[in-house]
Formats: sequence, C-alpha cells, structure tokens
Amino acid sequence: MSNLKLLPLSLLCELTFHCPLECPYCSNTLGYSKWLKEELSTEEWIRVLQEAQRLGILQVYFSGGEPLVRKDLPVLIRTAHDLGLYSNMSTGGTLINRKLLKKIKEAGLDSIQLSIQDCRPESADLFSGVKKSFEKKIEAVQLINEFSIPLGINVVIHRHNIERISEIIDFAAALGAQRLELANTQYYGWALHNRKELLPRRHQVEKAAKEASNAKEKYKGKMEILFVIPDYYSSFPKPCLQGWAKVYMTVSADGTVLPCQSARDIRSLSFPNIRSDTLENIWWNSEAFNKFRGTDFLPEPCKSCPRKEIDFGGCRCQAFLFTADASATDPVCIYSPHHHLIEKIVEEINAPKENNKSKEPTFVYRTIKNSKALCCS
Amino acid sequence: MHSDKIPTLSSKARLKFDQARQKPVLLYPEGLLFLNQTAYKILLLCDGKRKVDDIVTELSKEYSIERVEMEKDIWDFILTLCERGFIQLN
Ligand code: SF4
Ligand code: SF4
Repeated sequence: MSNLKLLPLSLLCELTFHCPLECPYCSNTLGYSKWLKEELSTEEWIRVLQEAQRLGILQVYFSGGEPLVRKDLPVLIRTAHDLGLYSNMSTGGTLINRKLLKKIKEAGLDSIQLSIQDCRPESADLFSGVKKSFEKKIEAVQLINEFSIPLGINVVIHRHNIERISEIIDFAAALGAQRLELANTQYYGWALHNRKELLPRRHQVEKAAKEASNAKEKYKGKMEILFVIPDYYSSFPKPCLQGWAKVYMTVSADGTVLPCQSARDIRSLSFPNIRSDTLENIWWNSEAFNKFRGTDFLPEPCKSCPRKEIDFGGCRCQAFLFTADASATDPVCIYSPHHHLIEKIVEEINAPKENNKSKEPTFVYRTIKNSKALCCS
Repeated sequence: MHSDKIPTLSSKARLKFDQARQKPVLLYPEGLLFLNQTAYKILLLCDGKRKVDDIVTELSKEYSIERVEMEKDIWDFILTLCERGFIQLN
C-alpha cells in the first residue's frame, strides 16, 4: 500500500496554543482558546514522534503558539534527535535564557527560526502587543549566536512594516541570520480577521519586491533572502504545501491531525485526532487527507488547465474561505470564477483615501479574551 | 582552481541515509535534498580534513576514472552547495 513517493517528509508539531505574544497576524485559528486545556501530554508527543519516524518523516518543526512554553520541550527535542529526525524550533524568542538554550542545544536541536516583528523597537512592540518584547528577542539572538545554533529570522510583512523592508534586511544581516524569510502575511486565522489593517497597497508591494531583489544580490553567499509577492497581488495561486497531503502533515496542540495548519478552518471537513488513531492510518486512510490528494478532485477551470501540475489549483483553505467549497479553484487565480472577490478587496485597499497617512493601526490582537469573544459570538 | 581548499559540511546541514526510501539525503532548516551515490560520497568526504584535491583523488581511484574527468564536476557540486550555505570552503 505504501507508495514510496507519497511518504510524508515533514511534520509540524504545534506543541501549544499558549503564547506570551499577541500578534494580530497569527496563523493560529481564531478559536484557539477552546483547546487550551486539551494539550497532548509528553507521552503522547513522544508517540507522535516515534510514529512519524516510522512513517518516513525526516524533519520536525516544533512550533505553537510558543513552543518554549512547554517545559518538556528539551525532552521532545531529544526524542526527535535520537530518532534521527532533523529538528527545528520556531520561536518568538522572548522566553529564551541561557540555561534553557543550553539544555535545548544539548538535546540536539538543529536550527532555530526566530520571528521578529520589525527592526524598530516601538513598532515591533506595537505589532507583538507586548512591551519590551523586541529587547528580549535581541538578547535571545545574541545567546543563539553565542551557542552557534544555526539561525533563520522570519518577519511577517504587512502594510505597516513593508516600507521598511531594506532596513529590516540590513538589520537581520547585522543580527547574524543565515536566512531571512520576509513572509508576506497570509490571510487565514487572525490575519484574515485583521486583513483591512494588514493588506499592503500595490505601490508598496512593487517597491518592496524591487528592494528585496536588490538585497538578494547584496547579501549573496552571506544571508539567503526569501520574498514572495503576497498572493492577493499575483495572478496565480501558490502551490500550497506542494499539494494537499503530499509531503507535509501537522499535529496540533490538541492532537488534531491536519494536512495544513490552517485547514482546521475548513468546516466542511472533519479532522482525525492522534488520540484515537495512528499517524500512519491517518496519512493513508483518513478522509481528510485523501479528499484533495493529487489533482483529480479539481473542477474547471483547473481541470483542463496545464498549470494544475504546478499549483494544484492553489490553497484549499482559501478556496473554502471565499467560496464555501474547499475543492474550488483558489480565487487568487485570475481564471477563477470567484476572482472578483479578491479584486474587490484589493481595490478597496488601493482606493485613494484622504488623510490616510500615519494613522495608528487598530488591530484585534490574538488574546484569549478576544478568541473567546470571537468564537462564541 | 584552489584545490588546496578544505570543504566542511556546515553546521545547519545534516547528512544521513534515509532507511525508509533507501536513499541518502541532506537535511537543512527549510528543506531537504535527496542525493545520488556520488553526491553522497563527496559530502561524506567533506569532513573538514580533506582538501578538494584529496577528494578528487579518492573518488577517481574508487571509480577508476581519470582525475581530469571528475575534477570539474566535483568542483561544480561543491561550489553549488557552498552558494546555498551547506558547505564551507576554507
Ligand atoms: S492549505 Fe492553504 S492555508 Fe494551508 S498551507 Fe496551504 S496555502 Fe496555506
Ligand atoms: S485555473 Fe487552476 S490550475 Fe490553472 S492556474 Fe488557475 S488555479 Fe492553477
């Protein structure tokens, strides 16, 4: 039954939904507060890692929320390491201290991806919702470098920081990052809720793309820079996950197993849980994983489009969020019959407005209180 | 070419043999690369002790191929991985 080509390669472990920061573009689901008390135990996570290794997975990304909230993180890293899995941690960095970092390094962590919100302290703290978070992140970076753990920096890009892109790039280089991901906000979860405040304007995107491409040359061989045009501004969708249930899987804090971390918002599907099934059975046999595998499920215009082998018709989550049909063509695509929905949003953002200069953003922050208010209303 | 340069696998990259797929693989923070046997052998020799020259010599012996026929390919491979930050040349 096991087709070697279809064995999964990486596993995202969303260890917890707890996080000391409150970024308004968090990719976690709006209703995350519902599952705070249902976190998997250490033993359950160890079982997940063992099953992942047996299933052919080679890489594990420990993420969250903030993975460092979990006291058992060093144990889980050690488990992954002993199983021969390459382990990464995506962290906000504010909980890092010398003792903890030493433990993590000794446990065998292979690399860290640290997110920063901006290159200027005031704005960074405004975006994270927490005072002095920027300062703590910089201390964390210094420690990470001291321990020589390979470091990548991730900055979520949106309307309020996109004009500082060159400054952000120089800043990341000065911090010693080997890789900088300028991740344009993707509109799921909290980011979707805050889209009006986050979506950049066209002229901003064009300028940023130019600056990023110049910087790529400038830092060639020193720091790798990644910048992809936000998908609302491109003609074709991104090849989401390299295809649904093709190489990735996610286990979320409460044990829900997802083909993609945003897939929980596809209400028309129900997702299996690791508490009542094995990773292997879920990968091969669950309805949720099989539903959009390959390209056969795609309707027109994708069905007869040659690009379907490149982009697989785009993102299932985005298709569902815009059309209520998760098998539809991603509306980002200019051939999608729903593309006008994207155009309308882009037009609204780009419409000339009076005195729209230097307006303070009004975000809905990712807090437990807001989560409860939003998902119970 | 600077054949006395010494290549080392960088700390973010890990080389291993994947049992599930029976293929050598190079793992790094944002992804992975499946390798063919020759690429795997070259990387195994990038141990921070051997010069590129030594690697060429060893592989030409092992495959019984003239050095000149291998040298360029080995260099190209090492330089490509160098550019991606998987190898350091010192
Ligand atoms: S399915 Fe959609 S939300 Fe999920 S990773 Fe893909 S693009 Fe993202
Ligand atoms: S029609 Fe479908 S397959 Fe073709 S480019 Fe658009 S999303 Fe991709």
